Amino acid sequence: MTDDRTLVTTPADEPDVVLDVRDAVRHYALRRRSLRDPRRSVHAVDGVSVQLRSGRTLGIVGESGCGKSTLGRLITGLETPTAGTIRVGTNGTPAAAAFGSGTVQAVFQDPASALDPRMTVRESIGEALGKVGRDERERRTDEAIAAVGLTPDLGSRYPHELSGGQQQRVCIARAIVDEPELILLDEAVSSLDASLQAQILDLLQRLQRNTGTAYVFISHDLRAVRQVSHSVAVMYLGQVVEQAPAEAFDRGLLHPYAVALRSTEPRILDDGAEPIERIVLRGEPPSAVALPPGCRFAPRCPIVEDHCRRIAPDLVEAASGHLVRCHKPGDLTLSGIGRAGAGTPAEA
Amino acid sequence: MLLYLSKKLAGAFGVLLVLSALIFFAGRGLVPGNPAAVIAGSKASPETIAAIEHQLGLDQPIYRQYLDWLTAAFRGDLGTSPISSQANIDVIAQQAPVSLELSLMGLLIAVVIGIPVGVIAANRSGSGTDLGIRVPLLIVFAFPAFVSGSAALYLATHYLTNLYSASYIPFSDNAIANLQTMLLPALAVGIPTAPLVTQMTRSSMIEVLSQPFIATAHTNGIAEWRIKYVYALRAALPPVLTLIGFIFGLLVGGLFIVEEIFSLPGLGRGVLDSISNRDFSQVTAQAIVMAAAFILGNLLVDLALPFVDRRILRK
Amino acid sequence: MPTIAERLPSHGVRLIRRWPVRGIVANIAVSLILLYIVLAVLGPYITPFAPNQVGAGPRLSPPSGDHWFGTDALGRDQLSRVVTAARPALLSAVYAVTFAFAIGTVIGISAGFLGGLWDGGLSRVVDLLFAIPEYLLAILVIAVMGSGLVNASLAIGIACIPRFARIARGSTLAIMERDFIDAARLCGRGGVWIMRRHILPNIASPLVIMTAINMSTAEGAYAALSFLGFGIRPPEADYGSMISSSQQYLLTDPWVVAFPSIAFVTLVLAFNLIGDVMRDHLDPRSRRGVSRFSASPTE
Repeated sequence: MTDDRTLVTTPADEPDVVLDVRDAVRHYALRRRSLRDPRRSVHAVDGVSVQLRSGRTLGIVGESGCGKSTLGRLITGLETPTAGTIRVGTNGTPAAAAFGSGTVQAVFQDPASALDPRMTVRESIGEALGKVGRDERERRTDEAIAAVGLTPDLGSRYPHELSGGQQQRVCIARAIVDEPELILLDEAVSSLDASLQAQILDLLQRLQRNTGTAYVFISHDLRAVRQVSHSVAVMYLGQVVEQAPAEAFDRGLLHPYAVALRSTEPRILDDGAEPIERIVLRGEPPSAVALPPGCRFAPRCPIVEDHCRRIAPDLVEAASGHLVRCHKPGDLTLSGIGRAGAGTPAEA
Repeated sequence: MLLYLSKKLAGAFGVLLVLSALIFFAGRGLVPGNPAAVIAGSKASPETIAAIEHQLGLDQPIYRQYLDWLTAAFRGDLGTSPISSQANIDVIAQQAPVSLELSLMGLLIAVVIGIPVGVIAANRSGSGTDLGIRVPLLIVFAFPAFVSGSAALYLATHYLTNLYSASYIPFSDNAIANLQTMLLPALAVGIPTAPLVTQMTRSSMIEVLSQPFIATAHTNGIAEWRIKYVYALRAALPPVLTLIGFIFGLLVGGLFIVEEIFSLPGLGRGVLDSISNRDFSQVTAQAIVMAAAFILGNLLVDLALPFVDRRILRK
Repeated sequence: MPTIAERLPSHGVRLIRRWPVRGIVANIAVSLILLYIVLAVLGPYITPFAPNQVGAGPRLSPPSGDHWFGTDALGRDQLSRVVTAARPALLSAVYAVTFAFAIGTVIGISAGFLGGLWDGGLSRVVDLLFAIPEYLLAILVIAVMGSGLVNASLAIGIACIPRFARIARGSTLAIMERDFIDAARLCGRGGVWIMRRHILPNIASPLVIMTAINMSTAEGAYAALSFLGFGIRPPEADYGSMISSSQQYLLTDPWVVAFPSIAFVTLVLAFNLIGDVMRDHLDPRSRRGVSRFSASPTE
């Protein structure tokens, strides 16, 4: 795992970009109660730009409702952006045009819902193989079943005859069988218990090493995201508030929301690490319908100042490959408020 | 409440408007070829046919005919039958009360039998009583109106000669004589419908009885019978009421059959007569009135629903 | 692409494993229907007399050794006619339900799957059909198309479309919530594939139950229409028309009405019993407390 990460910092022979999201916006119009009401909309994704190279994993983390799942659906092409562009694959096809072409695949949260109860394992996996002959279909299905660590005899079973972990392996087999360039993992391990999570994450990493597929790994669980991702984007109310290499998450986080999120991550004590203060955020995120004028995080920010409420910060590069959207980056650290020097980003 | 009311009213009106067009064109489809030629008879000259055509407005394009018919209908004029030369509305005014009385009595019988039996079956669900109620009901349900009606007519004319009188007398003329004629047909309409009411009451009650508020009522020491027959029944009523809207449709079906068996001069028999006379004008008018009554019945159910279930208004 | 029939083996096994019709009452009902099917198929070969043979015996003779069910006003053998009438009775229900199933399911699935304007439009049409009393609709359709077995069955079928369309649409909407639909889309599968391979198999249970319930409705409706003279043309035997034509002899020779009535009521009852057992299965609300009735273990 650590050797994978070192790849990120090697500037030579950069792999191809397989995901290029630029200023993606997705609004949902709200139904008006009467014709006199103003037209309002939910800003589920509001100006997100991310890139991902082949063989890498981009983690996206945030509370429920922050727009991470919508971003995932935009990347797969299941939904189309209101504005902005999303290009997938090495040849940069727009996501909508690539939809259903096998460039992007997905693994969803609940494997029981993602598998048709009336289809056998083989039928479900084979569904991803479009116009291939019968023999090739059988052969590649067999390979996929083996690749995800299932025994061949499970192929003729129905989903309800499998355990949750086995079901998720079938979903992964379906996602990899047609060799996509990018796989969306939307809370793909969240419904599994801890030991199964570890197994599935391990499987995903092994598959990535073998195939070089890029992953977008969406989760509310920061620990799982950090384990598999090369780069992590933290989302808040439809925007990326911080994007950093996974290593930065050990100490060098700059955005107060990301720091707060990191501080609540469950951890094993007595591991020799510095003590971490849990930073408990007060209140709920403001509604994505009526957004505050300044920084979106201002109403809950522990280090908020007056101008935060008036002027919305931009996403700026604080260090190489480290983006943050905050007026006072680095003022809140894992060891408490104000202990790091104001305005000096701690280098990882 | 006002919004709910106006929405339902507008919806019902819209449906009726589209139905009127459908029924109008279906009515025209009743007579193959040129209705004027049929009316004039086979020996009529082309001039006579053309004259009749003009008189009936049949020389106009069909949408024009429909619009004329519709504007007249809004003024309460449903046309005049070219076959009997009677104003359709007059014929309907004679027939509709018979059918209305028959369906209301039938509905009453279905509800009076159906709801209590359903409540009892639900409260003893799974027991021998439940089974003893449900199996006979299913058997009754298998008897369509034309079998049960014939049987009832047979029994009445054989054994209940004092109770049953065969000739129809309007309610306003002689209420008792009227009921003597109508009771048996109403039973023939109502009894086969009762099992539906029972079934819905039973399943709705069973669901209600399993809900937490019933258990709460028990712990609060409210009398058993009060829980079962007042609290639970009230909560179980909305689906039953909705079913009654559906039953109106079945009652209309019953009208055709039962009026035919008992020779009652109602709308159902009227429609059948008009069809066999190829009287497209009259059948259109009768069908529209029937459909309107059905829609009105369902509208009344919709309007009654909020009174038993306040949550509906919030949706 | 494999056809539905190719899929049937694996799918059929699953249906049978979950076959909801169990218990004594249900078994009796199924046996009765099988008996009627045998009669419908073999009818013309096993009747003691030709069903339309006038003067096979004396007119209006009571049941006897020669004529077990007696004879009607034209001296036709009632037993032969009752047996022969099983065919139109079953055929009408099969025609009507097949028609309503086919159209209603296509409407319901496509409305639920495609949504938007298509759904809005179709739902309006279905609501409109629902707003006409079923019998009035059927009679108007017959008035336009003419009477007869096929036309009457089609008229009933049209009146039954909304029921199938509604249940198919509702079930489809429930299935659309599941992730495997999105997964299939991502795999590049088109709407037709998804509707046929994913939605139809998954909504099969409620549709099968709806079919059972509607068999009895269609059966009763056809007999009623036949009673009113809209069914199969005379002199062919048909329960409804046999009852209506012998009605005038009800007071003097009740068996002329009794035998076709009993034959018909038994058939409808058998359909009702199966429909009722299946309805309990569909409606979890009433599943409790029916165990003795259907003897079906909860799944």
